[in-house]
Amino acid sequence: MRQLIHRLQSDEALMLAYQRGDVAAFDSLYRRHKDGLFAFLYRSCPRQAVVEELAQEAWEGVVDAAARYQPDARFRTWLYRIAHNRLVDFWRRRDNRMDNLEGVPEPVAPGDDATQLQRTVMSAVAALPGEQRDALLLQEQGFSLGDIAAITGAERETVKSRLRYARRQLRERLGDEL
Amino acid sequence: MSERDNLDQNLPLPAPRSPRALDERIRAYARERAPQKGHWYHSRWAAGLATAGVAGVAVLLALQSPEWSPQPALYDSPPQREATAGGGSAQRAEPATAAAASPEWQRSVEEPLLSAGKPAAPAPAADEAASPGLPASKAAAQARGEYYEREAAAALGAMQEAGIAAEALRDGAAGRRRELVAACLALLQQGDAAGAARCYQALRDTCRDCALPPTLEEAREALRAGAADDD
Repeated sequence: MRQLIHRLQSDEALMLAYQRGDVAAFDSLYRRHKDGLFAFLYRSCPRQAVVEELAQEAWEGVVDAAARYQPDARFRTWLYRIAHNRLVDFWRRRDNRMDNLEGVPEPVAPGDDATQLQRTVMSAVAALPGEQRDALLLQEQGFSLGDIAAITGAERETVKSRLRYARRQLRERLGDEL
Repeated sequence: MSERDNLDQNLPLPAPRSPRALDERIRAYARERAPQKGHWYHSRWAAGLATAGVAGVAVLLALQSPEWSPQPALYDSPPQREATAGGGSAQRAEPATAAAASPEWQRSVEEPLLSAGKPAAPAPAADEAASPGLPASKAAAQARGEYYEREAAAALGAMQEAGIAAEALRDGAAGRRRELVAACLALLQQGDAAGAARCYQALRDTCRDCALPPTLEEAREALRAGAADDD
């Protein structure tokens, strides 16, 4: 019954429950978002080891901030903002260049079940400027313009234009592949 | 709409799942750092510290009460001690005693003591209790009410967003339907009548053909009757 109630509760209610010490609430929250966040990070930086580290840091950020959490905004937006900040720090350390990942000892290829089309699209996405790539991948996660603006700390209009440029470049690169 | 649906409609990108080992690490970290576990105010010392804090404030207030006539040895507040130790003259002790009686000094002593004994509270309640002109009990009650309201609204939103009710009710599984009604009843048992009512209303809205009773109370009675029939 408790699990069922957790399933019915919103992210924010679960986070408040965890704030009161309900560890099972965090489990529900984690189960709900872990794969989505992992996929987002993987698409931004296709290195399994790096993604695991970033995902762990992001979730640890949530846990560490739980005591002072206030449900002012959607939990999911907050979670991705933390993850995005970790991602930005990571890319900053590598001078914002995908080819600087060569030093990271993990294979470039996406998951075993990735199709050729997925690999092609991943390559095209990787070639986008960082801010456009982030906006595009967040939109792929189902976030609205306002959410993306909140996550990336950019103006709504800026996000709109980044998305427009990103889609245009992808169309040019991929052409009929999509 | 789920994330997976979005992906299918948009770019064909890989969607790897979080590895089990990572899940275990993060869950272990969350268990280890669960908010109530790490804080001193949830430990067994909390009651003792709170008592000591209240007792300390009571002694301070009693010392400054004009009706109370203390023994000279007891009437020795901290600033007075400092002044006596520094010079020992009557002229220097006098302003220190005045300072001890002043409201500023009293506040400076009381605030750390009070905050040391304060139990954990949700952040909004703490903020509101601290706001001037609002009695602490009223602010706490208000914060509690707002919290339950938020939680109920959040539960309702989640249910609608996730489509749990729709999915569960569409397949016509009576057992699942009973579980969902019971979940609304559980909110009622937690003291969240408004949330329970909204939860139940969401169930009814989601499945208009399910012939659910008009109110949650009637649904409870129907559940009881159903259980009796099952027996």
